[in-house]
Amino acid sequence: MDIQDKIKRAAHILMLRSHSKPGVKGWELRRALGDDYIRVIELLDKELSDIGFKVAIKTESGEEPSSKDDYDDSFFYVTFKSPPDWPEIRGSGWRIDELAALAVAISLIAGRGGKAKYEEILDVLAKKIPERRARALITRFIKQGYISGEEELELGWRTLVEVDVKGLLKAIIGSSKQSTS
Amino acid sequence: MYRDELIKILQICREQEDPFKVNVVDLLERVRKIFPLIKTEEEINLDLEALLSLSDVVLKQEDIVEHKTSLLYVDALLVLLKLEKMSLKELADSLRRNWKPIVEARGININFLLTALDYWGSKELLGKDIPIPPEREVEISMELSEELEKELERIKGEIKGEVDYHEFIKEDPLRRAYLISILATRGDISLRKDPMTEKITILPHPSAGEKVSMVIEVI
Repeated sequence: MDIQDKIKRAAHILMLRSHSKPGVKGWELRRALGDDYIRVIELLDKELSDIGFKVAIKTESGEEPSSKDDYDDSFFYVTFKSPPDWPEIRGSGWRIDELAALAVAISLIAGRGGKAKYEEILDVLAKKIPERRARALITRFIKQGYISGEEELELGWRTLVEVDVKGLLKAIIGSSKQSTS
Repeated sequence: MYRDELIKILQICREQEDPFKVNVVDLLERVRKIFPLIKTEEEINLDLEALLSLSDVVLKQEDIVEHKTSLLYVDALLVLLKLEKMSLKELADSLRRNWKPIVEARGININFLLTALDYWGSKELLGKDIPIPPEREVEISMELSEELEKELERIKGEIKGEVDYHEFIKEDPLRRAYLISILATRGDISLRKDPMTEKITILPHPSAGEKVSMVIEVI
């Protein structure tokens, strides 16, 4: 397999979901692409960059891998390179109230240092959307991997990959400052 | 002689949840004063344990101070207040600006087929009970009926006797036609079409006859 074939293969492996959740482990890429798989991924990342995507690599705990050994156990994903615009979001089926509810859930959990009670999140959401819908959305976010847990909720694997939590908290505080001043 | 006092210091260090409520300086001073006076081996061990427990308390205090002074620390109450003030649009946009969703293309694989089975196996769509493994049943019921069920019940309650279909849906044609179609598909109600006048009537009970698909112009 020449390098171009390896890049194509890497794109197929990363973008066509074969597991119940997205993401491919480094060792799976090594098995499919060979020992130089990290170089192949770097080249793929450059190609994806032209069309607004990138390869994101995260360890199980959501950190960037710090050493070469970490790569084999890390997860590789293709994500947007920059935040999507509203037409893209609407096109992918997300509604404003759904995105807002997710923002509330993630911010409350992050603001509480990583864990927040289900009832507390529900209380805040129920002030903005009907309670039944709030419950259904929390269930959906858990199913999608944005949050996890039952009575006490934590940030899920998908949030750690997709969301800049620190940036979100800054935006929440900044935005509120504007609206209250 | 000093055993009880050392045990008390140990208890304070271990049981107090907030490390800042432990008066470390006072307790250390007490341990320092006791040390030259203790005689038994047990007291020496307890003294050592007390000292270690006090150092644990100091470590916990240090962790908290470190977290609170780091960029990651945000006051939870402040976040809560801001969230309550923000509109849905502002909240959604805050997330959008910090969100880079995963991109994936879906081909046909075993997971895709299982999702399809969930869809076609649902009671709401086929109007009949298809055996589904219990763990999948929970998923389906949450996905398809949680929000609709109450609305369906309400609409069903409105159909007391035979009513004209178009009269019934005119208040909110698309939504009510959609709900009626679900109730009819499930067999909770039935529809009758007069072949001469083409008038459609909603009946509050299921039909005894053969089920047929019906196309109705709504708007």
